Amino acid sequence: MPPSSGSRPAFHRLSWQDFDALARLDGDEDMARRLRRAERSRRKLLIHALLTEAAKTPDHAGPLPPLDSAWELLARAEARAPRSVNRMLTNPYTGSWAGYTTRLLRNGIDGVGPLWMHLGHAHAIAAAAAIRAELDFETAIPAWHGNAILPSLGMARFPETETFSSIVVRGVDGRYSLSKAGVTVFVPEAPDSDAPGWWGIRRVRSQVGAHRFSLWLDDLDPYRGLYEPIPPERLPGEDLVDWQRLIDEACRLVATHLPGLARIMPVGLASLVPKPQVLFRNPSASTGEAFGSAVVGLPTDGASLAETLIHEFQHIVLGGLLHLVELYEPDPRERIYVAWRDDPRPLSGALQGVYAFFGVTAFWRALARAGTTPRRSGFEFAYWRQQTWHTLQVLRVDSTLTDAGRRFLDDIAERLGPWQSEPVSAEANELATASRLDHLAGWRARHLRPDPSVVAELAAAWLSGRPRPPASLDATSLPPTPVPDGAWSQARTDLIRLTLGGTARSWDGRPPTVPGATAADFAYAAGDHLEAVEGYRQELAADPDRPNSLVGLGLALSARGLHPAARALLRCPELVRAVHRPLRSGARPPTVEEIASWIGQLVPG
Amino acid sequence: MSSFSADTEPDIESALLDLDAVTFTALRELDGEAFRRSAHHVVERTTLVRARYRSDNNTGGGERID
Repeated sequence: MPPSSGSRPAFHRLSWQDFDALARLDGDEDMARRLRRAERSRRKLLIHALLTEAAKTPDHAGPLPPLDSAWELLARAEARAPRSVNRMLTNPYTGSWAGYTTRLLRNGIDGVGPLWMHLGHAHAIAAAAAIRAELDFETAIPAWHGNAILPSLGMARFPETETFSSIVVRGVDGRYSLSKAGVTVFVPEAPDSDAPGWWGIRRVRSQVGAHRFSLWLDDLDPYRGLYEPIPPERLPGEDLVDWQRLIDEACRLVATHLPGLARIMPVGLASLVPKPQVLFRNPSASTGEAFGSAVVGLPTDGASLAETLIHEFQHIVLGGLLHLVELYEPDPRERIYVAWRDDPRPLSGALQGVYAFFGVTAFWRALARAGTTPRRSGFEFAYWRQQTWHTLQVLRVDSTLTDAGRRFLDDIAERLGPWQSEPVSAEANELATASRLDHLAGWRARHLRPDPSVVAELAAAWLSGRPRPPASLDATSLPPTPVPDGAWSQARTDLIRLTLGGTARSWDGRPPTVPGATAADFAYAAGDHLEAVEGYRQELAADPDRPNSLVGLGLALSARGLHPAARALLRCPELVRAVHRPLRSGARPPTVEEIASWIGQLVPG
Repeated sequence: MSSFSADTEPDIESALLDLDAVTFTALRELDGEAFRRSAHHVVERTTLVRARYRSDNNTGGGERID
C-alpha cells in the first residue's frame, strides 16, 4: 500500500509463527521472499535519503550528470520493465553501496575515492536497469582505474588515464556501449560472457532433481566486499571450473540431506564473491547490508562448501530478521567466548555465530545419520553441537536480550537441545571434547588476565614452600580482554580434521602442510601422547609463555590419565602462566609444569 | 519450550515501511510523518554499522558485519 494514498501506511510485518519457524530452521521460500522484499524497501528508503540529501549540494555530482537524471532513468526503466528495477534493488551490492555511501554523505567525507564517485554509482545502477529494460538512453557513470561497473551485468575496462573518471553509456536500438576518449566497449548480447574490453559477471547453475540452484560469481562489483569498495579480482578460468564442480557437489549434498534448506537457500543466497583458497580455514564472510551475498574462499571439497553456504545463508536470514525486529540492545563490549573465533565477541556477533553454526550442526548431523563420510561428519556434528550449545546457554541468560531475542534462542534450543544426546562414535565424541578443551584453554591463556593480587598471593605461597596453594582459587569470572597475550594456532584441530578426511590431499596424495604444527602436535594427533608430553616440555623449556605448548601439554597429560597439571593447564592456563612468570627470575626457577601441578591440586577433576 | 502461542499473537510490526509496490516516480514524491520516521530509522541504523573485519582471525569461523 503506497504511503501517499492517505490510508494508514503499511509496515513490513512478520508473524510469530514465521519468526519461530525461521529460528528453528523450518523456514520456507515464502518467508525468505518476504525478508528479501523488506530488504528492497530498506534500499529504497536509503536511496531516497541519499539522492534527496545529495541533490542539495550540486558539487556532489562531480563530472557526472545531476543525480536527478538517475531518478528519471530508473523511473523510465521501471515504467517499461518493472522487473529491471526490481532486479537492481535485489542485487546485494545495491545494499552495500547504499549503506557505504550513506555513511560517507552523513559524515561529509570521501571514502575509497571521492564522494562523487560513490554517489554517481546511482547512475550505474540506473544504466544497468535501463539496459535490462532495453531502453534508448544516454548517461555517464563513474570509473575507477578505468573500470566502469554496470552492476549485475559486468565491467567495461578502459586504459587508465586517471584514477577516477567518467564514462558515457549509451543505449540505441538494443545496442549498448560505453565510451571514453575515442575508445568504445560494447556490452555483448549475453552480458555474462566476456568480450573485447568487457568482463561479464558469471553465473554458475546446478540442478539436483527438482532443486535448481543459481549463483552469481561476482568478482567485479566494487561494493561486493565487506565494508569498503574493492577493485576487481578476475577469477582465472581454471578456478571457475573448480567453482562449478564444487557448487555441483555442495548442492547435491544439501539437496540430498537437507531438502527443506535446499528449497529456501536459493532465495536468500544468490551471489558469491569468490576468494582464493586458504587451506584448513575455508574463510567466509557476509554483511547485513548485502542480503543475498557471501564472500567465500575456494573450499577444498563439496562438503566444505555446503557447510559454508549454509553458514552464510543463516547469517543472511538473521540479518534480514534483524532489520525487522530487535533481538538485543546495542552492546559493543567484546566479552563472550565462542569456539569459532579466536577473540572475544560482542553479543551480536556471538548470536550470529550461534545461528550460523546451528545450521552447520544440522548439516553434519544429516550427513552423520546418513553414514556419509562417517568419521568426518561424526566428529563435526559432535564438535559443533557442543560448541553451539555452550554459547547458546551463555546467551540465553544475557541481560541485553530483548523478549524476541530470548524467544529466538529458545526456539533454537528446542531443536538443538535433543541433538546433544544423540549417539555418536566414541572416536567422534573423544576428539570433539579434546578439540573443545583445546580451543577454550587457548582462549583463556590469551584473553583472560588473572587478578594480580591472586597471582602475587600464589607466587608468595610457592616461594614459602607451601605444599598446597591457598584454597581461595576462583578463576571463573574474569572479564576477557580483546588484546591477546600470545599467538594461537589451530594446528591440533587441523591435524585431527586431516586424519578424518576433512582436508583434501594434493594431487600426489601427500597431506598439505599444517600451519604452525610442531613435532609435539603431530605426536599428539597420532595418539603418541608420551612423545607429545616430551615435545611440549621441550617447547615450554624454550618458551614457557607459548599458549599452544601450555595447552598441548595439558591435553597430552590428560590423555595419559588424571593429572593435576593437566587440570590446571586446561582449566586455568592463564593463572598457571601468570604465577610462573615472576618465579622465573629466582635462583631455582620452577618449570611451568611444576606450577601447574601445584595449582592443579585446587582444580576439580 | 516457548510459552507463546504463535498462531494467536499479533504480528511483529517492523519500523520498515513497505515500499515494494511503490514506483520510483512515486517514491520521489513521498513525504509524510510515517515515511520520514521510517527513513530516519533506516539511515540511523546504517550509520551505526561498524567495520569489524580482522584479518588475523585464523579460525575460519567467518566474519559478519551488521
